[in-house]
Amino acid sequence: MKVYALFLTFLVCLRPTLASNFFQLPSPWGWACEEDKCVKKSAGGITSLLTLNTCKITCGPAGALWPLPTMATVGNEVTNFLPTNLTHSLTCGAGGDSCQLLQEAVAIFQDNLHRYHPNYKNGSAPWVGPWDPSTLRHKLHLDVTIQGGDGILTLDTDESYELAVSTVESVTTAVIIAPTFFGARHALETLSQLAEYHETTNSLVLVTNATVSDAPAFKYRGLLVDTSRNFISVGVLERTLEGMASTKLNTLHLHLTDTHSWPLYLPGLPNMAYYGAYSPSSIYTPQDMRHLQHYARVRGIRLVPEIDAPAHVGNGWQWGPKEGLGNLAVCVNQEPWQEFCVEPPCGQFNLANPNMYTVLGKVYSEIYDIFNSLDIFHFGGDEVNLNCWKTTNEIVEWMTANNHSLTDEAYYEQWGIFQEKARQLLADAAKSKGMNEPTGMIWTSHLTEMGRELVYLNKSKYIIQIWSTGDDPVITKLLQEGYKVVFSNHDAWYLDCGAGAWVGEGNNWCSPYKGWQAVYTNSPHRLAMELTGNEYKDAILGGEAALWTEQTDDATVDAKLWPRGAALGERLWSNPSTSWYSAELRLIHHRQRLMNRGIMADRIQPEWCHQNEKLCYL
Amino acid sequence: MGRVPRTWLVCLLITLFIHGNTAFFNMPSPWGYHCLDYKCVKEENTGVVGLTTLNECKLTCGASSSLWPRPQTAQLGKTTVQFLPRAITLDHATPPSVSPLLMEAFHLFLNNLDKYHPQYSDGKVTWSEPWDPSVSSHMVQVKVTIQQPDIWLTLLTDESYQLVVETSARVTTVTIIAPTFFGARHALETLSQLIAYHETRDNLMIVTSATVRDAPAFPYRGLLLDTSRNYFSVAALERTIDAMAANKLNTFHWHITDSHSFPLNLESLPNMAYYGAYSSNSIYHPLDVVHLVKYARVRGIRLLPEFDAPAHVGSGWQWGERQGLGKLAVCVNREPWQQYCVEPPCGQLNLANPNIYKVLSEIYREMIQLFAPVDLFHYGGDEVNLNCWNTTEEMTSWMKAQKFGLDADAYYGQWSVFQEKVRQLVTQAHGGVEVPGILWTSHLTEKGRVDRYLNNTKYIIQIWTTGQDALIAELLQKQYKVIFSNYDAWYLDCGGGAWVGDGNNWCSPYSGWQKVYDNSPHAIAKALTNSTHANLILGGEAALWTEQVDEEAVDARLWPRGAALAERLWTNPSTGWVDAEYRLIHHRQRLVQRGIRAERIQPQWCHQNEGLCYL
Repeated sequence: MKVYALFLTFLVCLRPTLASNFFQLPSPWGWACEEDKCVKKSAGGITSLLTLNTCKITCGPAGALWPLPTMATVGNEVTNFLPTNLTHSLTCGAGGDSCQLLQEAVAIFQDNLHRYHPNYKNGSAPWVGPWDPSTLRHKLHLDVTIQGGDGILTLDTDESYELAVSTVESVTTAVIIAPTFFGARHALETLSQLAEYHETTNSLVLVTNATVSDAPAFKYRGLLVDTSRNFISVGVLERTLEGMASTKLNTLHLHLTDTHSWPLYLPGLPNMAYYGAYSPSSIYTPQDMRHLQHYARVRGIRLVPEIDAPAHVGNGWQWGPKEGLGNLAVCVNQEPWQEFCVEPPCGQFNLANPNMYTVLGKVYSEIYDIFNSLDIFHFGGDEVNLNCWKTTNEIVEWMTANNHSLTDEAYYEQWGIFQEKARQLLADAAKSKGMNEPTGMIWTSHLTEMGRELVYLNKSKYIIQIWSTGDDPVITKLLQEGYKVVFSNHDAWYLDCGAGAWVGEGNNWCSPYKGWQAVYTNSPHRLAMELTGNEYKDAILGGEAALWTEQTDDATVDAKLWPRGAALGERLWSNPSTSWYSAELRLIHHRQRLMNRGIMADRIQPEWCHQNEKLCYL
Repeated sequence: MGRVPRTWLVCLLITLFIHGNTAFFNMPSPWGYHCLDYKCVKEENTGVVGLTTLNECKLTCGASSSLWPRPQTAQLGKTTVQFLPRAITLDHATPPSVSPLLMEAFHLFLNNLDKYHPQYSDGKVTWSEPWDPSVSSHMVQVKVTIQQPDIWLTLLTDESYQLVVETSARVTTVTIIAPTFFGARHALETLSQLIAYHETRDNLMIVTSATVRDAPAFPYRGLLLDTSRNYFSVAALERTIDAMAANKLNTFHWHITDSHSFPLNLESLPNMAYYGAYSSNSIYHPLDVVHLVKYARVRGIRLLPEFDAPAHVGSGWQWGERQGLGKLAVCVNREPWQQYCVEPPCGQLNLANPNIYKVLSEIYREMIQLFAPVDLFHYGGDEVNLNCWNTTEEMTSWMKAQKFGLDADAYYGQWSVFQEKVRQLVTQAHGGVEVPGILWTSHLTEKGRVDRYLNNTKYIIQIWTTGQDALIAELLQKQYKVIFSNYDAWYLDCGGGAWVGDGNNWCSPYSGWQKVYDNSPHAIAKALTNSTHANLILGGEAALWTEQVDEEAVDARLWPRGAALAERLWTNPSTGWVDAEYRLIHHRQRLVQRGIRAERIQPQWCHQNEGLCYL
């Protein structure tokens, strides 16, 4: 103690020339957990103060766990250890490649521990001692059992898990028991959040005792990324999957194609991307997609590809006449766009051309070649502009020749018939690979209104994705008719809102920006309750936040998705009855974890608020 | 080449695809561009000669090519010649004092050309053969003449330049003449925009002829970054300065400290950052500052330090009592914050404690040394909360003891006394030579107070109220020099979610680039006073307050909106944003190539289909 005081005096005397050494001194600040909050205190002489990270993972009823588990008891004690000291015993009673996936998930878990180091880079972290012998000795042992499942995520997969952490002398054991691989990997995420970097000893701290029993509130917990308005590289999609994995989201909905561009390279239909990609470097090869599918699965995530039709097609479909197939799409890039579509550029399928179905069938079959297994496929199906079809000679003549009238309803009927044909083409593509027909997903549209849904959309075959506002009577109707739905109401879950306009000036159509609080507060059960007096727990499969990318590309995807995607994650996993206010401290810390994982998430408060809990209130 | 049946070609390519995924895309793109009515039009490449690549079209099509900010006058050729970056040479005639700066700026220019290569990474790039002999033998000779020896930027620096590009046979000659180094480096920026990557040949191309005469409309063209609400690494500051350089902005206003944190490590007062920094990694060391001053200068930029006082202090000032200096700041982190300040955490200097002036004197002395030479100093000076002082025992007893009274005017009086004292301390720190000071608009600059408290020969006022505020007319009519940062257009943090409470933040909605571009200080002055007051308006500045951003997303908040600001301040166009749109969209791509994660403002389809994303 005396030596230390002498050292301090020495430093203070020398400080004009040793300014940076000054910071080798212990910080003047430390933290204490008081009433479930980390309180910053002057460290003068008090020995029981914690570092900020240690306080964060031990203070409050659930430490800094995100999303909040169904039940959790988190101890107050921590032990220091090095992430290299990790052992595991895996008991795998599951089929498929579950056991191989689990091995991979354990490696990812270990990497995520290394990522807590502030100087982690390219897969490794510079752990430098000297360490206390007890730190060096301490070991984390994983004891994981998965009881069943086949390694494929479906809407019936049991994603629950049990996690028990206990410490005896120099070994902390984490016992994980889960019905499937997916529950087990969620448990590893939770376990990784019971650890943190220890700021003053260059090691990790780990909670010594914890019990967690956890399962998701919703089966479908999604994020949508649109890769057509702007191209999003494979690396950025990987990063998006990392963020989703850390938040226990389980569905990446890829809106792969639209009128703007067609980035998906189909070996059997190379013209699609050749004509439709923004450039030769803005394409996804089949290998890219297969890689992403596996990258996602080992992180507990399914890919849902969307090939939007019969509207939202255009670039990539221009080669029909040249190949003797006629116009596959009409109104492509037609002007003035306001008359033929909702945003430039326009384009819709040519319903009058039977070759369109031949090509579409081929697209679906290529999709199956790439993805091999799909439990959900998204047909798109929104924003058909009747005026496009009504002003296209070829279509009008065909309608007349086939004795259809030219009323709106007649066009809706043809759209409905198109949808049924598309579904059969997809079912055929699945069958030819020996697979079951996937569940179809489709956006709310004119086809889901006025009772048309009952005529054209079989409720056992389709899930309806709601993108209107949360108080839209269409929701009531769909729920009462017995449709399964996924919520993406744009007034809370469209992540592109609030920027400047991209046509004209002012702000974009769905402004203002949806803060994380609005994302968090948006509860599908509550919306259903308000509209119908019933929560419709069985019909509501879950929710999804959508990032339409008119105004986003690789450079800024992360900040648009995160940490708001994490707010979504807790709504869909925990479905809390409490408000955003009680989640704030954990979210602020989880955002720091996302950064550790290499995600350039937006900051939502000054760092001062991270260090001074509950003082940034209104 | 003879006509190959298309179906056969496709079959061949499908076969190739089995061996190599991207073989298909090694074919010439089915698309090309031609220039029609100053727009690049995308067309199918059906063997018709005359279609260019997109970059080539962007370089030659518009009346101002894709130059950003638009020069005052530019005559540009419509043809390009291809060359390799290794073929560029420099001749220069300059006063000896500026030669090292010019060499460094030229090196940056060459590096920026390398960054046009899509595979550029970490300072390295490989330009791949084969090239046409006419390409590999083409020379680009840059000749630079600088007339004056000045090496530091001031408000009087002549930043103008002339740039002439001529091509004869195998040589393109670029002649740059500028009064100062600063004009010359701007010319190199312009030159870099007359050059682009050729997408199918893996070399560069330059317009064969050009004559540009250019000078800025405003001498002060700034961007503010707050490093106190959240910390930004030196690398993030460098990146910001790089992007400013690409836009000919010339002032990086560094709001270093605030009540939230004190990241500046002062050798003479290490306790400031020791107590006030967020962590021992979130610190600017003296050498970092010296480095950044130089880094900015060679990019044509002054680093303007702000030391905000007497409000907006707190973190970093807690050690006074321990060192026997008494309470230096009052209301630090005081609760409930709403009563004592505009946002958490609170804090104001303790005017009753004369020791604050000793500490401030050290701070100013060291800052002026680190930022040397300073030609402007920002005192902050906004948002003093009288209730903080008026509810602090030590302050009220002092006010009473001095017989000042306790009414608002008494406090404003003491605030202005404080301001005059710190002005003298800064002058003293600057070797007795006065430095023009900048102050935010505040209660001290309000009608009836401003000329009582602030001398218009000593202070420049930075306006952050709305562009309709009557205060602007008052300041201009009283002959204050001003800088515009009206928050309704030039606060770049607006439009996020709230960070206290829910809903959206105080100055929502988000100001799109169109609004940033159209915000004209002269037009605002004209509307309020019927005169543009061109001699009093030094320029403008967009501010990024960082409650809700750190280095992960700072680029997207600043860019490309900072570029829209830059054209307003450099060119001061009489035209609106519509005429700037295609150039800005392309300039955003250039920023991305320079490593700036700028926001995308339209689908890429709009970049490839000019004029079709309209309303």
